[in-house]
Amino acid sequence: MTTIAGPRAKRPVNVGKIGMWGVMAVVVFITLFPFWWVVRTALIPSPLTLTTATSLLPVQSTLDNFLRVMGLMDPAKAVALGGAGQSINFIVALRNSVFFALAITVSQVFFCAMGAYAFARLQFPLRNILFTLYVSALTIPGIVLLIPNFILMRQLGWIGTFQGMVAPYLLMTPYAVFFMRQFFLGINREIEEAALIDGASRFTTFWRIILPIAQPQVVTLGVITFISAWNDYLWPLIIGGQNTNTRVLTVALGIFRSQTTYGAPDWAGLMSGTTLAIIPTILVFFFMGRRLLDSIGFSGIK
Amino acid sequence: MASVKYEHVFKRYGEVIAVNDFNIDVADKEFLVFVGPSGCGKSTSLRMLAGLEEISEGNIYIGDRLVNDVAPKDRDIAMVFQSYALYPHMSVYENMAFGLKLRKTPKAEIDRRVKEAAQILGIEQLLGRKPKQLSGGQRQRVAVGRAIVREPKVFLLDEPLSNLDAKLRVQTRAEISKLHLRLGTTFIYVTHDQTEAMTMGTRIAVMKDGILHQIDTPQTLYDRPANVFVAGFIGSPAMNFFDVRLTTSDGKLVIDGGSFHLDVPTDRLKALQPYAGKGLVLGIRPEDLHDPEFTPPGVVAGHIPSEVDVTELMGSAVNLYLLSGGKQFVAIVDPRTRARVGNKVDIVANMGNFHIFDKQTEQAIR
Repeated sequence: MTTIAGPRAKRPVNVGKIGMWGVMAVVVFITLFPFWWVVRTALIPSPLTLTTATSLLPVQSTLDNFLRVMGLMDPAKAVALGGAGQSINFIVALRNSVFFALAITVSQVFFCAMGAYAFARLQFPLRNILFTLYVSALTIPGIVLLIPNFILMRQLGWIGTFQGMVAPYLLMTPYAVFFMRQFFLGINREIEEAALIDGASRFTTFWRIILPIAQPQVVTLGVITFISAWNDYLWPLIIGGQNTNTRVLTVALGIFRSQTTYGAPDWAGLMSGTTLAIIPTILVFFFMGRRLLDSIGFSGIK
Repeated sequence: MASVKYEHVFKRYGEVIAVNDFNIDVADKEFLVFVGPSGCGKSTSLRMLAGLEEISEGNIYIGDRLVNDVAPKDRDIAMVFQSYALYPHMSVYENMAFGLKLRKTPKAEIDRRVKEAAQILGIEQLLGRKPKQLSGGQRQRVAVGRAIVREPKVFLLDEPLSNLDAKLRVQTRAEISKLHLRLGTTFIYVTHDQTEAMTMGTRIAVMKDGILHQIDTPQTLYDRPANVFVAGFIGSPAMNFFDVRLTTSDGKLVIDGGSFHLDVPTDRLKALQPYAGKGLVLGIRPEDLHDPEFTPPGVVAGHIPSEVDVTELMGSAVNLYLLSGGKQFVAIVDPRTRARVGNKVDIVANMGNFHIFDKQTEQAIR
């Protein structure tokens, strides 16, 4: 009788695998440790932040920092706890950030998908030349566009307004169009022809057949766009930074940081604000992570 | 229910002519098969009828209506694609209902038609599944079902069986034929497989290089091919061709193949007489060549001295690959044959059933 080696049968130690896990552990540590340090600092009473810097765990944990950053604490008490007496007006900044990031995400994903579909499937003169030109815009660094865009917004009188903040991002970006087009090119043409014979117009085909098929790609693009808009700092600062009603979280945190009483930033307050600002992106990953991974695995981008 | 008519239809891609002066009348309720090697224009012809390709020149009618400029959705056709083209994000039910929904058919009517089609095809238990949960054969049925529910005037099928395994293909072939009888709709079917064409079509259009070579019933195509291409394409294994010369000896007309000489039977004398002395192409089907020991009675025999090169036992018959004067050809003989590789055999040709073609035009001489 032969015995079949079970999963517990002794196997030679695989050095390569151990090495791989080791490298991965280091990378995970390097990635996650700063996050932990942010959260840890946020939980420490402000005066202790610099004196307890050697402790990995928060000392005398407290939620006071969160309360005073969100303006839920009496200013006098907040100053006594080591803050600048300033709060972030967190709820308004959060609202602005959500609005800013969502508006950009929804419209950009929609327009990029439409543009990409047109470049992938519709026949029109100079299509390929236009596409090449458009994608070559990838080589232009975003920072170069900052001043022209600013001047344009100023001439439109949109400085300090919400529309000024979102306007340059509302339509398409070359990367997203390129990414979606590659996917659309891979969709079996016969599916679209079947829809055409079934009675669907071009737009119906796009809306009811192509977009649902591309759902994982749409979600991926949406998440990437949302996070980059959420983390955007410079543009929302120069257009909407001067006024609380258009100040997004990143800008609010930056301003909070510069309001110092003792010469050094209020680290505990800053870190609790940062912790709060990270939560939405973590939520996005939490709900969309599975699909995001599927789509990245599917399209081979990493 | 409708007839279909192609009238001097051309399809050009730049310099390339994909379909060249295509003329066909398809009768109502007919099962017409477009067959030919890949690149012959058969799919393009079908797609022009569907409205998926523009017509470069000519007219296409469905019923009495000129459809050149009619959108695919308004042509009252349904199509089954080679890849099935099912909508991957929809269930089987939704796949079948999609076209009706777009046409604003009442819900109850959609439900009735989908269930009826599912019952005809035996896929009722699959209605809730997604295409990726189905086997190839099941997907194929769903694709057919999606076409059935539309109750179109004309059914278009573009190589619908080529992604199925051999056994399933034979089975589905019969089912599609039954479906045609049951629905009583005009079917136009594209395939590169002559067996599919022969078994399913009421008529077959044989195409090559964008040109329609012959259109007729399967039996006529087999018995009376119009030219060398059709003769070689229809039938399996393919017809054997020999370069021959017609000579006269002792007042008789003889087909001289170099290594063999066959007397022209009296009923063909009149047609072939004018070609005496000329080079021609002789065609004989493998099934008209017999082992001398097992020649059926009544065969008008001619003899081709040959040597056995390869033998293939098929079960009900043996395929003999033979050499005569350096030329290889095939005979399907009785399985009891004693011919073995290297043997000399005086193969019997059935002179009641041979084909002669003009060497230049490749047209049949009758």
